[in-house]
Amino acid sequence: MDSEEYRDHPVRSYVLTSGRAHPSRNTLRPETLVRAVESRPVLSTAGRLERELVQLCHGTLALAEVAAYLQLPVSLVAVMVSDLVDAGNLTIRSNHQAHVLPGKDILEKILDGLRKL
Amino acid sequence: MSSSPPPSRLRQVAPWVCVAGVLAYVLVAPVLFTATGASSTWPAWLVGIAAVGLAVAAALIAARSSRDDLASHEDLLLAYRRAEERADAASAALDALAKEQLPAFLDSEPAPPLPHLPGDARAQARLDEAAGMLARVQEERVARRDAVQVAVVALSRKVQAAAHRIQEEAARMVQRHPTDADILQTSMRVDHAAAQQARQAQSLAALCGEWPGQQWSEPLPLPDVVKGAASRITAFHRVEVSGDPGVAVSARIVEPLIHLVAELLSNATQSSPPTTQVLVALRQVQRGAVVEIDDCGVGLDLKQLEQARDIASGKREISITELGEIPQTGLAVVGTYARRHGFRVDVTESVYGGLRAIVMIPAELTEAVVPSGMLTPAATLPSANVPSTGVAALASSRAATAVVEAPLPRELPTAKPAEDDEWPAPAAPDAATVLPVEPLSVPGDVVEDEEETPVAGAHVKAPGELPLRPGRARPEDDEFPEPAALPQRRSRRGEADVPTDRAEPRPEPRTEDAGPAQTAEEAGEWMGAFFSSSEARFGDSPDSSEPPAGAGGTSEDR
Repeated sequence: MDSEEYRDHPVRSYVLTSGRAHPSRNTLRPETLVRAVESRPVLSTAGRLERELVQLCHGTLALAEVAAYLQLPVSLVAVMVSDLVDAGNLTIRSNHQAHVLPGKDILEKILDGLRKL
Repeated sequence: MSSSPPPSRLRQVAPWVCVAGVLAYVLVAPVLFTATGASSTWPAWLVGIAAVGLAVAAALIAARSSRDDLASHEDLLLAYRRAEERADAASAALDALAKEQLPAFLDSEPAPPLPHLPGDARAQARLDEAAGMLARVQEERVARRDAVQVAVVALSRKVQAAAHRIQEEAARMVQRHPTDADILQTSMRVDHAAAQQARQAQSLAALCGEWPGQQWSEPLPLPDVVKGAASRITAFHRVEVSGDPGVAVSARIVEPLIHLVAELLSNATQSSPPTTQVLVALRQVQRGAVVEIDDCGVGLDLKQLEQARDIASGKREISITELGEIPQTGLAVVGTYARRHGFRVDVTESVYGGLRAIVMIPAELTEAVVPSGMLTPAATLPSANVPSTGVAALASSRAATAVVEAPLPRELPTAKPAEDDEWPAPAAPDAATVLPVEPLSVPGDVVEDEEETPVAGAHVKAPGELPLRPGRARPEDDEFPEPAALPQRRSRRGEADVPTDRAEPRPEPRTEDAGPAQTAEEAGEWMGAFFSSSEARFGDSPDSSEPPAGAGGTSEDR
């Protein structure tokens, strides 16, 4: 990633998040899928970037993808996405836990298999 | 005796001699006539003639001397008047030297011409000499000041460049650790400090009459201008922006305007209590766009306000040499930009109690832009400027996929997952709403030239797909339809020269294997696998075996 061309922008990252670098929720990962909540209009106080972000997510997108589209660091987009999730404009879709913890039936099958050895 | 004035004694005596001669004749004549008798009258005649001659001579002398007196009197009067005139002229010249030339010299302004001294060559020469020396000293002073300014500008440029370098390094640090919030925090702090440093350096350069160091190549929407300005002041979190008039400022004045607004914001935050907000209202007016900055401080008294207004509006110029011991650069910088770019700046009392600074940007320096409520992702999507990363490739291929699905919305809900499609489509309900906006994809061609590249690249990865138009027909389009005439963001990237397919006719409808390949959850797993393999940071890499398409049931909303 070091080879990336550096692009300056007049609006600095800390203004986008009011200086916060840590997202309000710690479950966001680059592969976390986010999706806009269609029924909920974006607050009128939201900036262009937030609106852009929500509209990007009308199709489900991974956090890393959103960051790439917006040309912003993933960690920064995580803060923004987290805020938008708090505001109810985005939802997180993830089966992350589902494959970290295999189902009980699978564990039983493995146990059965091991016993048969 | 005629050429030289008669001796004063003779002149005084002559009338008396004349009178005495006549009297003597009158007295002597009868005596002579009676004494000598009629026979001898000649002595009487002789005496008479002598007396008359004496009287006439005396009268002549008197008359002549009085005429000479008059002439010399007139001469003296003339000389006196001339001397008086000369003295007046000399004192006027002295006054001009002391009261006009010297102050002008001290203020480094062009001096008024000295008055001419007629008929006094010596005084004139002295005066010219003095004026010449003044002019020479002034020239030297101007030259020295210019040299100092050049040096100050060069130094401030260096400081500014160093600050931008720090900012760049901070940004790269985040790029190297894209998911580390602590590093992002550090980067933000560094970036913020450097941004203020750059602003101060730029203020110096601006006061020396130099163009700001940074330049931007694209117009910037007004809210972003204010945010950009806020990012350069210490208390950026106190700035509250309201309103988006759908106006962008032209690229060439982006930096001056950001700097100008930053200085006003800096003044506003510094002169109001730290717990209050600085309110920035943006609006469009007939003659351009207006930025209003209100602070909640205590304001200024009338005299100070008048001064501030003169400086900020550019009426009164303040150069770097006049800043004084505790430099107040803010308003001076504002005034400099106002003069140079034609912004109209005014400072008045705010209804909130503090000051209200108003900046009017003339219409010729603004451009229309899509108001933020009507942003279309299609205009911005494929411009991701990260070609070297896998994410970018994924983004590109995703953009391609989204387009591919657009022409056949009716088939989508029943479409089977396709093996050759590595990226899921947007959820079916979205895709089904694409149809109404399809015509929009035709007029946008010109603007999106550069954006087609990544899409074309993506097609290389997915053989068997027909070349298609890029992602204008995004599912999102239906909610925020974009008029074709509205300006769109351009990608500045043009390096990839994969042949684009703009000339292609409308895409043929695809067969059903073009349907959504995977569910969103599979995509998430794919991403997880990608990140865990590329960075090994995310140790809990998911099992990459593909769950059945119905795995959406395991998703959960948090």
